[in-house]
Amino acid sequence: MKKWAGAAIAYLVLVMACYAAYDSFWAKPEPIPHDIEIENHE
Amino acid sequence: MGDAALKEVHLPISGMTCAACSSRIEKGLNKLDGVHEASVNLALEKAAIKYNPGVTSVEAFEKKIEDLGYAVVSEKAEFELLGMTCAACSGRIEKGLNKLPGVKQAVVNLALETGTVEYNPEQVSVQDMIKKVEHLGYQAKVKTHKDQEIEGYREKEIEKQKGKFIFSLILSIPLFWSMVGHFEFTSFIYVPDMFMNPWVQLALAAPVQFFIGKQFYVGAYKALKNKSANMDVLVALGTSAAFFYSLYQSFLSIGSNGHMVELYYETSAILITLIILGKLFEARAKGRSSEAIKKLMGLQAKTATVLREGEEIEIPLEEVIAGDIIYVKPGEKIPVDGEIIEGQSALDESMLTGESVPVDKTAGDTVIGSTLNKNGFLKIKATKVGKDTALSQIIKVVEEAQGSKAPIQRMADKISGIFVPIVVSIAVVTFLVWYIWVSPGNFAEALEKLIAVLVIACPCALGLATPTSIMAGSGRAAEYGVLFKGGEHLEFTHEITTVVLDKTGTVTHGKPVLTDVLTEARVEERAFLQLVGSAEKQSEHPLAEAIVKGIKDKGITLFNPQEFEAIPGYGIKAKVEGKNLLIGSRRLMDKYDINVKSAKLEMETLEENGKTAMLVAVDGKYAGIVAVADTIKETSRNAINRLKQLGIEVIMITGDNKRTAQAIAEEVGIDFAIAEVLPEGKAEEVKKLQNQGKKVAMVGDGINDAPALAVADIGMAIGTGTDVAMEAADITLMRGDLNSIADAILMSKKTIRNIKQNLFWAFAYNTLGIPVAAIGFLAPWLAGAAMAFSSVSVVLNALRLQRVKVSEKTFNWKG
Repeated sequence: MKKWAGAAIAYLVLVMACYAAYDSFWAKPEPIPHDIEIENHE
Repeated sequence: MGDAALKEVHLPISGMTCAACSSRIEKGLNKLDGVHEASVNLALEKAAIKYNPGVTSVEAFEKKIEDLGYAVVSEKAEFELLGMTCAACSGRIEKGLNKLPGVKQAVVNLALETGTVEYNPEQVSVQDMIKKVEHLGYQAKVKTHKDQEIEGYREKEIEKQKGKFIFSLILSIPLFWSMVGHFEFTSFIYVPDMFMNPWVQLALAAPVQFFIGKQFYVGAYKALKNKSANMDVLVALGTSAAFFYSLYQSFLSIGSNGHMVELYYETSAILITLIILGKLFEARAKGRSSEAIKKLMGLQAKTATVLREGEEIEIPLEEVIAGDIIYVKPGEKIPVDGEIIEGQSALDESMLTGESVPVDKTAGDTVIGSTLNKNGFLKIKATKVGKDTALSQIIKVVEEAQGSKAPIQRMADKISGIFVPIVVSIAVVTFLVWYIWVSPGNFAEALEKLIAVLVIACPCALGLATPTSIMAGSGRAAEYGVLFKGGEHLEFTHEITTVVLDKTGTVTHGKPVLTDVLTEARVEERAFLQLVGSAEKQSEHPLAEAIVKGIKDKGITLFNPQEFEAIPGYGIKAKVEGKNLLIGSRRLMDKYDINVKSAKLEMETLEENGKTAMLVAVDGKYAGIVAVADTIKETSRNAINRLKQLGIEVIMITGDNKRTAQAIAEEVGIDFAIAEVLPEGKAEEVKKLQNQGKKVAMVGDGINDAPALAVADIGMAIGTGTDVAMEAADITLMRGDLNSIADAILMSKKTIRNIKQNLFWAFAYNTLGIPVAAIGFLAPWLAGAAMAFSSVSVVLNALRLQRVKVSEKTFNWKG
């Protein structure tokens, strides 16, 4: 049973690590809503 | 072809998940040529097949079962083989073992001197294999015990399921967390962005769906290949719909920075996790329901010390053969059934007869395997071994009862067989109604309802309702010393309105005992008894044996008679310590002109009370009377009272004259006795009662009452568990105690009530659950939880029967 739990946790950590890597290197910044942009111009 | 020419085989089956599976195998087997009747028990995971061996074979059944997508579980035995010298020897053993019926595969390793045989234990035993090897000129010894193997296999399976559950639980928690964020009432809970990402969700849900959920796909494929549907089909359909729809949505989300898409990954993953959890509970509970058998098996000794070639050696129980001389030390269990050839001891037989007082045994007496040798050293000759021992017979009866189907189950089987296609149709209709009318164009919502309907409708609870109760009920009954021969008897016993008791051996002990000693005033009682006992010592008449035993029990030592003569039909004539004795009837006294007038009144009174009185004359003068009678069992009165309290009419039937019958009936509290009935007339009397519309249970000792037991609605053989009178009756009462009748009726009542509760719950769950899910009041994951809960609750409810208390006395089966 420990083996199964270990495998699942390792896999979960791997998925989280991949996401973290993707998020910090390749993720695009959130688009700024249009109305806020206009406000700034004014 | 008559039933006598039919053979029966029991095959353990793996891979069944619900009642649809068992009914499919049953149908498949029944379609085979030569199969008289096949029934498959889901809870026990066994098929019982009656077949004509001239037309079909066990191999055909195995092939059919495998073709249907299931497997026949075989057992493995390992042997140490001695005497092999070359490859030709190993080949010969291999060939010989493979030829045995029931052996699937035998592999012999010459280098290790071992053999591994895969076999069906119902067809062939380890002893048969050893015999075969010995017949071929080699020696074989068992390496492992078969029950340990099975236990190991089950435990491994449970461990594996546990691991799978933990794995899918860990991956499902983040998905569940993400779901929490969708509900308004839980929106305050923080959900990390990471878990809302569709690709992270996909990465977490995919292993659960395809790795853990593989078993559902495989099961569904096998079922569909055979043009049928089972629980796996529903689970695979429901979870796949959720998973693939989410996958489609995930792809749509590309480029739209997809946090807002509707995903159902958590639904599929949580569903699979919950279903695996349900199965895990079910497997554990199922294991517990066969506890009675495990306890019984635990009674057996594991080894025996036998005399082989002049040496005392300890061998595994499986290797003991009939005729072996066995040594049993004080405190050890008797390994097999046998006969004492040397020594004496008190034996604790309580585990088989319920009799708590140890029984004294000496040379010439029979002993029963698994009973406990309390204090003496015994040398025993094995008479019955392996499957023939009394304990094995009992185990067989309990196993067969647990595996048999109660008529009430047939309806549930029929329904669950057609359930899945109906449910799929309802699910499709639900989807269309939601997609077209209720919420037009909202695919996700319609899909959610479809999944909920598919998942809530699994008929697992329906399939488990009856067999688990029958298993637990008949197992518990066995602990009370009540062996039901089949599920149908367990079902019908509670309908009994009238119990007919045979007198001799049922209400009474069936063994005469010395009851009265009356002497003339001039005669001293102990001296009188000493003379009578010494004279009767030589006689083999049962009444004489009763007198001798009664006198010995008073602590009186007996002499050997100097002369002895039995006068058939009159009595005996003997000379003891120089005194001439006559013991017998009035006719004997008349023959020798002995005046017995003073004894007339006493003699008549004794006879009116159903006792047999014998006159005694010493040196030509009347000296006294000894009387013997069959005594009433101490428990009879209370037991009959219990039956009356249950509202059951109790009738006694006997060959005795009316006066005696009435006297005994009154003593035990029976209102009505049918007297002067010949053994063959008992069946007729039972029929008469049945014609009055009564449901009759006949209770007898199973040997001379066989016709009456067969005619009655329920035949109960009252024995000690050692008799194989079990054949004649529907129920065997192992304790020779009438309380077992009330126990049997109560156990049947409680089991039937339990089955009805289970069936009600299973039906209610499905019939209420489907509309609730179709209307949209049930989220798919809740449907999954409810489904898992329904199966588990049905099994747990059945297990309550294991703790049912019907009377004070259970058997000591602690082993």
